[in-house]
Amino acid sequence: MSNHIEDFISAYVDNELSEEERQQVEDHLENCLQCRAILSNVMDIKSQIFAAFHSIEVPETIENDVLQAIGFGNSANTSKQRYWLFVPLFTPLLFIAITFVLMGSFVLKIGSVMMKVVFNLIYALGSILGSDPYTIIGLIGFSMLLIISSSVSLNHLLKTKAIEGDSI
Amino acid sequence: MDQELNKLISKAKTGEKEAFALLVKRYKESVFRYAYGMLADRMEAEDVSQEAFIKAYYSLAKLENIYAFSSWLTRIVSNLCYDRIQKRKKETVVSGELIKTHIANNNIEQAHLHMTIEETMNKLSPEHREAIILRDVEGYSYDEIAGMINIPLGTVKSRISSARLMLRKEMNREMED
Repeated sequence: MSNHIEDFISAYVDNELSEEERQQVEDHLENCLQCRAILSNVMDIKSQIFAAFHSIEVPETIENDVLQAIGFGNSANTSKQRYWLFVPLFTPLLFIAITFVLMGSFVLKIGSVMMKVVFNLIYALGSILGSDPYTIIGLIGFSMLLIISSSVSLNHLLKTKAIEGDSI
Repeated sequence: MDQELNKLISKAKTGEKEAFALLVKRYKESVFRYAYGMLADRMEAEDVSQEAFIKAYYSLAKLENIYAFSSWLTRIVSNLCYDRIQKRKKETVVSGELIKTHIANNNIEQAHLHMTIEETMNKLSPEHREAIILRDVEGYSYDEIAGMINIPLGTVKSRISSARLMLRKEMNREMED
């Protein structure tokens, strides 16, 4: 540290000098304008470097990409997806259960009335059909006619579709 | 705070992904800043940061001293950066990159100053740049830096000193131009 203290200024700024060295630097700085200028510059540069690098925006993608690469979140996602599958399954069941709990007796009553009506209708239809054998033959004939005509029209429809498809 | 961090590192060491995710969140900025300071390229810095974390995840089990986690992580990034520098050799810095990086900065004068700083930083050797980043950007002590990059304390001191004097010279030249 004979003449100037250039080489010590940096460590002085960082507080990395021994007590003795620090004292020597301070003594020199008191009388040396040139070294004081260097000290001021070094301090400025230090703070400017800090500010410049801390103003850099860090890409958001780093975190996500790393976590994806190590397989973090995948297992959580799949288990979540699995749970979501149960939602459409359980919702109607839950709805039915709630409906039954809330208005079970009413639903049961309506059910029994409906059953009676259906039973009576079937009974009535049976007796009507039994009383006149011509009605049964007529009905069978009519249904046969319906089946044949529908199959013919279906066949015709499919053929025209195929022709259209070919032309395209 | 530190105790919490050590707990987190221990958990991550046993393979707990949640703990490692928190470590990534905590260290991503310093890792990216370091990589960007060394490579001066956002894309490359991003790549290296991701690579470093992935490498860290798979070798964390081998880390003996959890207290040395941050310097261990820095060493991983440092090695990756030196590999890249070796690969591409010396390429000129695209200043457009710097403009993009600081475009978000509303203060134009300050943005310009930051660009000048980064440009002058890129004129330093990777070793000098590394010393400045570790000291001025990340705030490590000379002793920590010596341990981190495995060089004697005296070398750290002289590297930082000469890097700053070189930066000063370059900055003064820039100001004169």
